[in-house]
Amino acid sequence: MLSRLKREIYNILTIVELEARRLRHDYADIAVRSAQPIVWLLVFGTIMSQRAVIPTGDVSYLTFVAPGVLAQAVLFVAIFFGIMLVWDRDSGNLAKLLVAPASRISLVLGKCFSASVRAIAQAVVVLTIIIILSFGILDIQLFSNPIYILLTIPVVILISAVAAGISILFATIFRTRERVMGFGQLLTLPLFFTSSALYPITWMPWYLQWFAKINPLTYGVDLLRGLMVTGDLSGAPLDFAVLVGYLIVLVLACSALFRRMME
Amino acid sequence: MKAIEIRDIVKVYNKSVKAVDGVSFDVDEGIVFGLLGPNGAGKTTIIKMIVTLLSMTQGHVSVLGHARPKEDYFIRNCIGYVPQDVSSDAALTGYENLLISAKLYGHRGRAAKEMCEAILHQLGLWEARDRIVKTYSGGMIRKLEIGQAMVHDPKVLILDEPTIGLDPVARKQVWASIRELKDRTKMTVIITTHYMEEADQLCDMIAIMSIGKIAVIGTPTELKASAGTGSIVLEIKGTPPEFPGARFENGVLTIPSDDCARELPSCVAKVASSGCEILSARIKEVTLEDAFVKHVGTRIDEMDQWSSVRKTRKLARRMA
Repeated sequence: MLSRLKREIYNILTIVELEARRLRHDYADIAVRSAQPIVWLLVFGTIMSQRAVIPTGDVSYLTFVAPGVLAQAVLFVAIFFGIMLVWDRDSGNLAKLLVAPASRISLVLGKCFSASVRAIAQAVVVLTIIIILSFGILDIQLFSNPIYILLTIPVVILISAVAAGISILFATIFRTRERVMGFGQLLTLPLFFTSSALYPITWMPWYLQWFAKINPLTYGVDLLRGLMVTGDLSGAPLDFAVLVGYLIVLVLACSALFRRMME
Repeated sequence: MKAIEIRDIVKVYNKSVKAVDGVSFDVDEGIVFGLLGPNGAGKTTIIKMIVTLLSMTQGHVSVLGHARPKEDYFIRNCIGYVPQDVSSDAALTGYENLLISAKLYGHRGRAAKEMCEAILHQLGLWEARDRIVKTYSGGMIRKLEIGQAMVHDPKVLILDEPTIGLDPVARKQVWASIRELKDRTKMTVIITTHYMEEADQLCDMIAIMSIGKIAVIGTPTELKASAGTGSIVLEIKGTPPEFPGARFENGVLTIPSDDCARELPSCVAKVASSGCEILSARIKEVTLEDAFVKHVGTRIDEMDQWSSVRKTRKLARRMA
């Protein structure tokens, strides 16, 4: 039993290693994708902070939105991961993984954390740029504890794994690249706009606040903001529990439906 | 024990398309077994049911005595599978592809590395090990995939259309690799193909399939014998002597024979001594093609031309 568990953990790590090796041969992808969140910060962020329309308490708007931009970068990488899975299915790559002696749960978890590999690479780039900008270039005041900044990485892993889980769930249900792409796009905007990434939840009408409360990204942004801006981690256990809960449910659902990918 | 036992399997896709319709066969250990048939005959569906990728709508499959779907995990541990579509990761190097496969089958650290290096040498891919697979030729990719399927010394190796889309030279190389592996490891090999020549050259046992069913199973020799005998064809001037069962039309004499090569000299001598002039002599052997026509009713290339061309092109695009 224990050796089987060890083997499955090793399987998960191997699938993640596969993604890391893919990424190593394709740096350009990260650079291109990093542009978008920075544009958000520089364009949307600076315009919004000019007018001060969004109430962000003691901190400047740019400071408020910086963790949101990081979360967005992570979300956008992971929410389309299901398409890669459909791609892998259309080539023989997925078949090869499915006939290997690995449980469906390790396969799905491996694929979720594969998205995290890309998300981490992305997050490091975006975070570095935000830190550089915070040194007197833009009005961004980060919480000045480097350990807190480092702790954003596990949060990034968790957010991206959940987002990839959602994407993989769509991939197992819809099974074609076009439809998974479509649903990814359909989902990205509500996830992003009903989270606390761009403005406080209290700023939304009540029914959207309700939606924000079931939105996993809200909890991710909350963790990131606690680590990067306020240093207040009183909500962290709940945030963490919600994200892990989402991941467990998604992984179980995906593994149950995974067989559909090949039919 | 049989390597594979299949009993009355049926596969219905989307509740409407019956891809496999009541197929049963056994595969003995240590042989090369071929599923021969046009595209759409259900070969790939059967293969996917054997390798645990698809569930059966009806029927039973067991591999080395392990029954599906209960013992899928054991089955996965003892089979190697090369799907029809390119399954090596085009973005990684050949070595990395092998390493990932080795790790998925439980090899670790140094042992995994050494095993990959050994396989690269065996397959003649050592020089190309650090090149991205995207730059490999079709034959090299197939060999790499076979290597990836061999990292755990499987008892049964299953290859779905191993030479589709390959040029004749690459095809012969892949055949040689398969034969060499089989002789060295004594494993059971199952291949699907729609190339008659491939089935004839590689397989000890062939099942001819058509539209979801098996038309006939036998050794290549048996199948060819079932389609009739070969004949000696002589083009002559004059009136030939009598041969049992022979036909003579428009100066062409056709003599049926079970062993054409051996009987050709005596036939030629007999015709020559009767005073006829022999313009040409040739042997017409029975081929698997004849067996296919006899048991299925049409020629294989009439059945699958369009879809095969489409598939080959799709594959070519993907490799580009």
